[in-house]
Amino acid sequence: MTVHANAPTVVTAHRARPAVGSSGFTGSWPSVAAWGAGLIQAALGAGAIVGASSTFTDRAVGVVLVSLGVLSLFWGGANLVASRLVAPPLALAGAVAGVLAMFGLLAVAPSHTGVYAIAAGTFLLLIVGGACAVVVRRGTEKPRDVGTLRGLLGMLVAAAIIAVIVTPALGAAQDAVLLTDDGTVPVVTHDGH
Amino acid sequence: MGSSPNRIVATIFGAVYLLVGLLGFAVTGGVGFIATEGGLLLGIFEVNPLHNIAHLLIGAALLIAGLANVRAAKGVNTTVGAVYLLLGVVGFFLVGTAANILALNVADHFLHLASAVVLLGVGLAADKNVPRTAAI
Repeated sequence: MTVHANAPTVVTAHRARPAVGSSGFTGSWPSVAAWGAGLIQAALGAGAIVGASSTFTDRAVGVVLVSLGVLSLFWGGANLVASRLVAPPLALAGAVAGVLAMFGLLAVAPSHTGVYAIAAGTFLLLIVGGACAVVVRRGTEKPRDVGTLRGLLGMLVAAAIIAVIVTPALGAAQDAVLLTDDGTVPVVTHDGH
Repeated sequence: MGSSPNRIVATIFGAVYLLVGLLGFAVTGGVGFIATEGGLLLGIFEVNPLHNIAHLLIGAALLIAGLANVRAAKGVNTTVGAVYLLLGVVGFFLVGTAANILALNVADHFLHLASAVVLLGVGLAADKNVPRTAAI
């Protein structure tokens, strides 16, 4: 083996990256997005489980979605308690799994899966995944101090945006589950009041 | 009340929900107590008498806690927020069924979901350093 005495030496310089973190105003947004995504995943999953015409595969995907939805709800709360994104690599994997599970449900039960719900859920999981990816890439995070009045204002804005996105998504998920094979949605009469 | 986000939110939301509960009775005359179709409050929010009472109870709990101390406000905000978040999913599957005893419609879901995010968010994120025995 020939050794070159003048071979260049590779030196890797690790420059300290500044810690990432959001201001108080937007600090809660990944958590609130996780709540919205969790609600949509849980609704899609619950619909697949209880649907009258659901197959075993539909129900299996439904169980996965409900589980991911519940985890998403708890993760959002844990972030707010900890003032940082908890376990960002796992959350990033969970966001990817959530998107795959939603599209998996669309693949196995296309006529009983709300497309708007999937679009809204994917959008919210992209916010969650994006926030986690930034933290994973940087390797460190500043505390998200969202418990201030500025943070409260940001949370009010996030709540309004999420409600606008998630409310019709949940409606779409419900309508798709109730859809009959002839393309109509059954209507319950309200006699006696 | 100072600058505690929990007390501010609990007090404001409590007052609003109390007002909504009282106003609800103005549009639910002749509506059955648990009728699945109620009157429209402000032209959009569907309510029945049971729904009005739920608003009154929630509003009173929030207002009392908000006026009392930080710890109470934080606890009530978190609890009511979590219940509203759960109602966000369950409520949708009740619409159009005989089990919709609160006469929920889409506008109600919007309001409940937005309330859930704010109440639960503030309850979990703010006033973390309040001692267990504090009455601030």
